[in-house]
Amino acid sequence: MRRNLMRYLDGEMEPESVISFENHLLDCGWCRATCARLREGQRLARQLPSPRPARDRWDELEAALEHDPSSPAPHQPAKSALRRHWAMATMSVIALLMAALLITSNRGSSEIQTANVTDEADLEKFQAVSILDLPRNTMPHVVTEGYVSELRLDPDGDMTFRLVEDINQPDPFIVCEIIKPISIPPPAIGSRVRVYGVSRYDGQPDRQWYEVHPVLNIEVVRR
Amino acid sequence: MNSQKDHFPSDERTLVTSAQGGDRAALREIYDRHRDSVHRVIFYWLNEPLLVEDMLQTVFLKIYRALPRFRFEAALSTWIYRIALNECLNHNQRRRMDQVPLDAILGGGEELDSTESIDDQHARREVSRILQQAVMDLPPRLRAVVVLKYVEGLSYDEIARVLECAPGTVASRLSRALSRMEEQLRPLKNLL
Repeated sequence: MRRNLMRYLDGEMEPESVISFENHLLDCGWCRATCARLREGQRLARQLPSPRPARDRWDELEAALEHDPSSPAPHQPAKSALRRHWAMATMSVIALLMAALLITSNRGSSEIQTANVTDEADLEKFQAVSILDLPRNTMPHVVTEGYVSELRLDPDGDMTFRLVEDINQPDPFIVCEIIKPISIPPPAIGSRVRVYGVSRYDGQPDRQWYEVHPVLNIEVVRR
Repeated sequence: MNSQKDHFPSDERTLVTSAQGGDRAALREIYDRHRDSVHRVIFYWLNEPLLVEDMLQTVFLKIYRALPRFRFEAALSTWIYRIALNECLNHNQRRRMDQVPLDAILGGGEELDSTESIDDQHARREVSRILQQAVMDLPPRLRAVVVLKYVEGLSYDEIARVLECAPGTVASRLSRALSRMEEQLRPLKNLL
C-alpha cells in the first residue's frame, strides 16, 4: 500500500487507477494519515538544494586524461608527424601515378589499365603491417593481409572493400579503396588477400577509419 | 530491463562514438552535458566542497576509462549516474563520513523557536544545510532514490534503470526515505 501511496503522490500511478485509489483514501484513515506524512516528506525533499560546481575544471580533467593511458586516446599521431605522414603519402601517390601514366603512355594506351606494382624490388618498399597494428603504423607504403568482408561501389566509381583479420568477426577491420584512375580487379568477398597501398587515416565526426587508400596491388592468398 | 539500443538518440550515439575514438571535443561535450548532474549526486555524499570537486574529477576519469566498453544498452545519462553512484558508495565504504548528525543540529527534539528572527540569506542557507544533512543521514540506498527523484527529477522507470531494480522497489525506498525525513525534521516543520 505504501508503494501505491508513493506512486500516487509522485504522479506515477496509472491514470485508470487514480480514481479508485482516491476513493479508497476516503474510506481508509490509516492511508490518509500515511499519505499526509509522505506528502510532508515530499514537500521537504522538493526543497533540496541543487548546487552547481564552483568552477569549470575541464582543463584539469583534460590534463589528467593526457597522462592516463587507459582513457580513450586520440587515434592520431602527433600533428607534426601526421603532417609529415600526409606529405610523404601524397608525394608517393603522385609519384606512383606519374610512373603509371608514363608506363601507359609508353605502351601507347590512352587509358591506365593497371597500376599493379609487380616489380619485386618495388614490393620490398611496402611495410608489412597487420590490420590490428595499422593504427600504430607510420610508414606510408604498407602491405597488409586479411579477409574481404564487404565490397561496395561508391557513387563516384571507386571500389571499396573491408579487410578483417577474422572472417567471423567484424572487428578489427580496415577499409581499402581502389580509386580512379587505378584499375584493379576487386577481390571476391570471403577471399584472403594481400593488399599493397598507401596507409591513411580517415577521421570524421561519425567514424575514425584506418585505410589503405589508394590500393596499388592485390594478391589473392586464398579464394 | 528493456534494451535502449534501438531508441538511442542519433546525436548522442554520434557523440559517444566520437568520444570512444578519443575525440577531445566529444569528451568535452559529454563533460559539459553531465557535469552538473554528477556534481549534484556527489554533493549529497560528501560534505566538503573540495572533496566534491575532487570526486567529480575522479568520476569523469572513470567515465572516460569505461567509455570504450559502453555498448548503447542504456541511455548515456543512466550509465553515467550509475558510475557516479557506485563511486560514491565505494567512497562511503572506504572512509567514515565526517559529518554532524542531524540529531546534533536538532538537539533534544524540543520544538525550536520559530519566531526567532534571522537574516533571510542565512535562513535559506541553514534550511538547505539541514535538508542536505537529513538526506545524508539516510542509508545510501534510500539517499540515492531521493536524490535521483527530487534533485535530478528522474521518473521511477529511469531511477529503476540507474539502480538496476524494479520501479516498485523505487517506490518502496522512496516511501521509507520520506517517512524518515518527515519524522526527523518534524521539530523544524515551521522553519522548513
